[in-house]
Order: sequence, then structure tokens, then C-alpha cells
Amino acid sequence: MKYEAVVEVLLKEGVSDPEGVAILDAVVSLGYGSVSKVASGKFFRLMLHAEDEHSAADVVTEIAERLLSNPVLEDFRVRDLVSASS
Amino acid sequence: MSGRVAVVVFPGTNCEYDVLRALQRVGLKGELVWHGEGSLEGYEAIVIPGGFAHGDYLRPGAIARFSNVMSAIVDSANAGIPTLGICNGFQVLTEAGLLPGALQKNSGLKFLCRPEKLEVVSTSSIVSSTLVKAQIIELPINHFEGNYTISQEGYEKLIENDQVVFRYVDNPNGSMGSIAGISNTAGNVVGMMPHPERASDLLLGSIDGLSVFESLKFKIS
Repeated sequence: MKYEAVVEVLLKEGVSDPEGVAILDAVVSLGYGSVSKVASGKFFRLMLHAEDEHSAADVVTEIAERLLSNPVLEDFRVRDLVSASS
Repeated sequence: MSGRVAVVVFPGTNCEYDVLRALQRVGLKGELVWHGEGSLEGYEAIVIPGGFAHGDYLRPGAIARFSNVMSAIVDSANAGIPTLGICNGFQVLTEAGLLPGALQKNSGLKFLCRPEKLEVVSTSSIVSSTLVKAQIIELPINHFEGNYTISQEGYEKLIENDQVVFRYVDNPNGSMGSIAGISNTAGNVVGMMPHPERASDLLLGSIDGLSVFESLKFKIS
């Protein structure tokens, strides 16, 4: 089966996010004073073949742990794992 | 001693020739080693120079960490071979798990390229044995991701084990505890953001960086 997965990588709570702060400054200066926080992060879309959804999730999680995120700074979340038509 | 030092080159490394020259200045024989090499046998020390290994894609050092040469570096480092990562090399060593913590974007979001004053904290590392505790030296920094970050618990361990090698006098990038360079617990693996090779000839305005390479030589012989 072919699957498509989205991995989201965000900085851990408490790790400084200077990029998020700079974007927030821009958002507020555009007049959106109601916005109080912007968190910057990364987004990856992976296409893969796997036996079933469970093994696809295992592989994507392993890749996210080993390569896509740095455990000192970042947390990741695998989301939107869906079977994709080939 | 043979004085042979492996200077590891990834696609995107750009300080390798400066490092070769600095090693030569202190009488060591640097040799360029491509990142595809699987063995570092016969080398008495390893230097991972600065630059942008694999374009810094994903995160600095994140892809370099999986290059062939890295398993040889990990084996050599674990066997006690002096191993120094400068700037991008420091980032590679943290990504590979040879040094604790990580280098995050500078707190001011600016690429910083200027000389910085550093305080020598530990003299038991491979790059600081010819320096004196509390001595101030000046070395250039040249980075966007030099903001040293570690958990509070990890930071306390660094202090406890005398692993902080250099601190910035005026913290330029938001690093925890103004850290500019650290070692592993054994002291044979060191990562530092400042560039000692760029302060290794009077023509460059300073020779403060030579002490780093002299210490390395002292460790080998």
C-alpha cells in the first residue's frame, strides 16, 4: 500500500524561538494585535510503501526520531497518515 | 608521534585549508579526508572544520552525521583520539551525540561575523592545556546557529565535570551560560563555535588561536 504522511516538527516548550518572535512582531505590526504567539517549525510530507497503516506509522516515526528532529530542541508529531492512490 | 591529523571534508565544508595551514604552523601534518572514507586508521587526531556540511539542509550537521566517515569518527573518539569540531564541526559533533546539547539559531537572528573575547574555563581539554584558567583570548566567530542549548540538568553536569572549555565574555548569541566551547566527559572531544584557525597568523590580526592547535599537538606527543 502507498501512504502519505505529514510530520510536523516544533521547538520544545521553553526553547527560545527567535524566528517565531520575529514573525510575531511582523504580525502585530500588520495590525493583528490579537495574536499573542507564533511558533515556527518545519513540515515534511513523506510518500512511502508499507504493508499497512501501522507499519507505515512505525517507519515514519523512526525517520522523524533519527533524522527529521533533534530531541534536544524539538518535538515531532506524525499526522495525517493516509493511504494515497498511486 | 607521526603528527598526522585527519581534517574531515564534507560537501560544503569551507575552512579546511585554513585548518591545514594552522596545523602546519604548529608542526602537525593535516591531511584532507573526504566524508565518504570509512576508516581513520593511522591518524593521531581529527579536526572537523567549519562550513556548511551538506548545505546545512534540515539542520546544521543533521545529514553529515550519517556520512560514512562518522562511524570512524565515533570509534576513534571513543578510543580516546583527540577530536575537535570547529563551528559547523561542533554542530556535527552534537548531532552525532559525541557532545551533549545542540546549537540553535542565534537569539538575535543575526548572522554574526566578528572577533569575540573568550574566557578560558577548563584547561583539561585537548585544546586548552597550554592556556591558563581565566585567561582571555580573542577569536573570530562566524555563525547563524551558535546559540548553545542544553537542559538545566545537562548544564549542571557540564559544570560538575569541568566540561565548559570557553565562555564568551559578552554573550553574542544567547548561548546558555555564555558557552562557546565544551568537551565530552573524557576531555578528548571538543566542540567550539569560534574559529581558532582564523587567528593563527599575525597577518590575520591575531595568533590567539595558535594555542588551541599547540594544545592539540601537546596532547598528541
